[in-house]
Amino acid sequence: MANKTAVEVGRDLHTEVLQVNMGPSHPAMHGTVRIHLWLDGETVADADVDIGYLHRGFEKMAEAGTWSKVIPYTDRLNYVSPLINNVGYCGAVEKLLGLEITERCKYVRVFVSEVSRICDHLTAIGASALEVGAFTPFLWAMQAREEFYFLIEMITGARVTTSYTRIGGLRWDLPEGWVERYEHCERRLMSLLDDIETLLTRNRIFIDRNADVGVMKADDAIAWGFTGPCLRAAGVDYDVRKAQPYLVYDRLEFDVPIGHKGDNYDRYLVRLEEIRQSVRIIRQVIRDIPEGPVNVNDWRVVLPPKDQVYDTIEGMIAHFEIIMKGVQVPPGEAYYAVEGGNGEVGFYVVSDGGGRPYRVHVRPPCFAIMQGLRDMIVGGMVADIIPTFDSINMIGGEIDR
Amino acid sequence: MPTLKIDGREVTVEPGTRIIEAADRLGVPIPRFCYHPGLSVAANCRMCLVETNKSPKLVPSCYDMCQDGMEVSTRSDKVRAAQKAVLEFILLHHPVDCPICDQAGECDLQDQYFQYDYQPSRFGFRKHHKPKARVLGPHVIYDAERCINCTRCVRVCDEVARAPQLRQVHRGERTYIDVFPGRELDHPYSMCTADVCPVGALTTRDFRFKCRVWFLHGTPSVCAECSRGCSVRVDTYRGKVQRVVPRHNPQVNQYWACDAGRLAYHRFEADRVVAVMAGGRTVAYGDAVRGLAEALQAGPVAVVLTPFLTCEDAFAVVRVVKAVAPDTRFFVGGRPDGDQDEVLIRADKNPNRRGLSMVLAAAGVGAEGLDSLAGCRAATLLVFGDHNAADERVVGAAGSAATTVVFSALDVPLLGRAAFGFPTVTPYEADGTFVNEFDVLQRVRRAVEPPGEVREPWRILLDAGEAAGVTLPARGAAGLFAAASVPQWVGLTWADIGEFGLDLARPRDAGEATASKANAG
Repeated sequence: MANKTAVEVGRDLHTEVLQVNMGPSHPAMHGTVRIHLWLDGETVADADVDIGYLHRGFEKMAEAGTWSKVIPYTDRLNYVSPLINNVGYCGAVEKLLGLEITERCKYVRVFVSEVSRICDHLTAIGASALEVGAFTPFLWAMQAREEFYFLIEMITGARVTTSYTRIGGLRWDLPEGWVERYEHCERRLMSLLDDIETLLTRNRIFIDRNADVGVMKADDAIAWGFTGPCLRAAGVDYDVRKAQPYLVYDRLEFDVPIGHKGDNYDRYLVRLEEIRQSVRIIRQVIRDIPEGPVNVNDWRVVLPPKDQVYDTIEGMIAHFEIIMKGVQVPPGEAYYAVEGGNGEVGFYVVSDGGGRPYRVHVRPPCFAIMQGLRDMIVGGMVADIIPTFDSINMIGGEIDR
Repeated sequence: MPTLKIDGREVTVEPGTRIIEAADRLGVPIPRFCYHPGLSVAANCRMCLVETNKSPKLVPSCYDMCQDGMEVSTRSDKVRAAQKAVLEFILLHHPVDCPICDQAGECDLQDQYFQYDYQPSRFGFRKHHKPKARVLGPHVIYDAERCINCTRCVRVCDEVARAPQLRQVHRGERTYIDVFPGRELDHPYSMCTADVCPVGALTTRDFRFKCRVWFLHGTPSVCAECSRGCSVRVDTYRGKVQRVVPRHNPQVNQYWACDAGRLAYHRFEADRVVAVMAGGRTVAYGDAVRGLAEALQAGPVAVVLTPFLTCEDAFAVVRVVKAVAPDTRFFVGGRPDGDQDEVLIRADKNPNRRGLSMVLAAAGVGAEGLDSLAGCRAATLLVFGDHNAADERVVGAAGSAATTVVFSALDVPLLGRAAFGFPTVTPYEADGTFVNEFDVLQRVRRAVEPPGEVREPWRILLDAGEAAGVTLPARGAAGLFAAASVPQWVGLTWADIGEFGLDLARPRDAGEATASKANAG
């Protein structure tokens, strides 16, 4: 009588499964997502992940304008690393056009992609500390990210809504002093990253809350279509930059860190190392980047220089046609993937031979990852949902489009 | 029959076919400026040069005829180089006018430069200046700097309008188009010169600076200005007609339309009536419909029809009125006859006199002229059309009728005195069919939404019929057309009327209607 098990006590107490709504409007459910929970005490008995609260109809909107007018929309996909989306979309259209961009442009696109990846991972790491009560590492991560946002602003003119790439090139070349500015960012980053690591990596509370929590095994991760840090944390060596090298990634040396358990802690470690690898890539870009134009010399694709537009009829017509009728993309379809902050960001574009996209489909990495969230949280504690949800770094703009 | 290959695709054509025509038939694009299928060949722009195995030099495909065994290449390196060179020369003195040019957006020069040249300018000198904004006539303005001297406009005046009013003046790169001293470009087809102009050199004064072309929404329809019934495209923006341009139709108007027809839409821009009236005051539509039904039942009735009614309108009017008041007498008015020429313009200035008479004949109605109206002594008089309501014979008859009901798009004096006045659609708001003087049945389509209380006559008569206990066989214009049991189009639906209309005079075989029915179903 005195030694009743917890289950027996529960039976006496007539407990029942409690249904709870997490989100969609809740500070921890960043990106506006709802999880419908069935709680058995503090254990998650079942969960129904409900997405769609940030749907804007990106893919349908893309069909309404010219090919170039899609670029600003791509900023709003993964808004933590918008430059990678810019690079991905333009790459897809260029693939359909059969267009080879300039060498310098390739290096610049790699540079901005890696800068964006650093921002993306800093956000995910900072937030994962914040979710388990550690506010200081979050502030440090944001401080480091802020330095990079100044750099991005210097390059593109905007912090988030970058719209930096163009079909066939870039809005403009990197500004003067970009190397010095980057080096300043890197110094701040490395010092802050060391501090963050000191506070988190061997922190008892952080490890207890994250290790063996939200586990996603390699087989299941592949079955769900995981990519990016979440897949690599499970021990699968897959990175778009290595598997299908684009731009100049095949000429650059970098390692792909992988975990072995696929838990929250592994995902943290993978992101941390990827930041250091991104820095390694950027150092090589700065070393190797050639001089030369960033835009291809083809007025059917790239807007002519403004002096030619205003002073010559040839430039005026080319400008008019590209703006009003759009770049003429031959009929066909193309899929072009880049390694985004969360994994494989794929753009599937279809042309019926006009100046406007017939179809633009985005393969957002966290759409596949979010499908696995139920398996990662069911059977665990309700308090573990938040760190697990954070560790997959869901981005509402990307998943809902 | 020569058989030739164009870019590797084989085609057999009639002797005398130009290479460009054979290529058009195959769908192989050849750029051109001076060639126009409705005009004679000038071969002066050199844009359509192609390479053939029959000549060591490139040949103009708009001029050279197809030969047996000919192999034509339209995209060889030599041809591409020639296209770039031609465009570079044409653009040499071209002004940077696109932002202020009405043609921008539908300009052959823009499109062909972008597709075939796309090179920067190599011309670092001052451009020639020529006359700009030169008023050539009442409807056309000329900009010589934009002109590429293709002479399409000259040929339109010479060959289509048969009024040789335009010529090239000066020589070499100073050449431009002009009228003779002291004369004007004022023939009835002068705006066709702006249609055929591949660039923005000739623009119509009517459309000048009115609307950018990419905002326009085009509706294929029929001109209502005379009984030719030219196929036209009505371009609208924000619910207003901006311009009317001809649409290619080999059995009605070829590529052309007269100035009067294009400008006819201005007639409906002022003095529109948009509310239902009763004795000079606005009244609810339902009350007026009941009043119309009662007036029809009171009888005796006389109806003044207009050839501006669509076939569907005419059918609904005749069917309802005859069902309610079987002894009704029908009169046909319309706009009075006007000028006629050998080109397009017909003396009968009404679009649907043939269609109206077909509907009346099918209904067994003998229509009378307006002169017989004086002795008619009807208690109820129905008047359709603003021109009929302004006719003094009709006004006289209205004076002796107990109840007059007017159906008009425009505000006419009789409307204020009539017992009821219904605002009706203009030809740009109508949706139905017209039959032209040569028995070609064509679809009139709604280009702009009718304002206010404006309705189609068939709809008003449908409602009035139902108030009087009479139902029509259909409750829509398309259904009324199919149900009209007019021998000339019995068994056909709107879906059977093609892009170019139906020639009712041509005998149809039985299979044709059945096949098109299957498609429509």
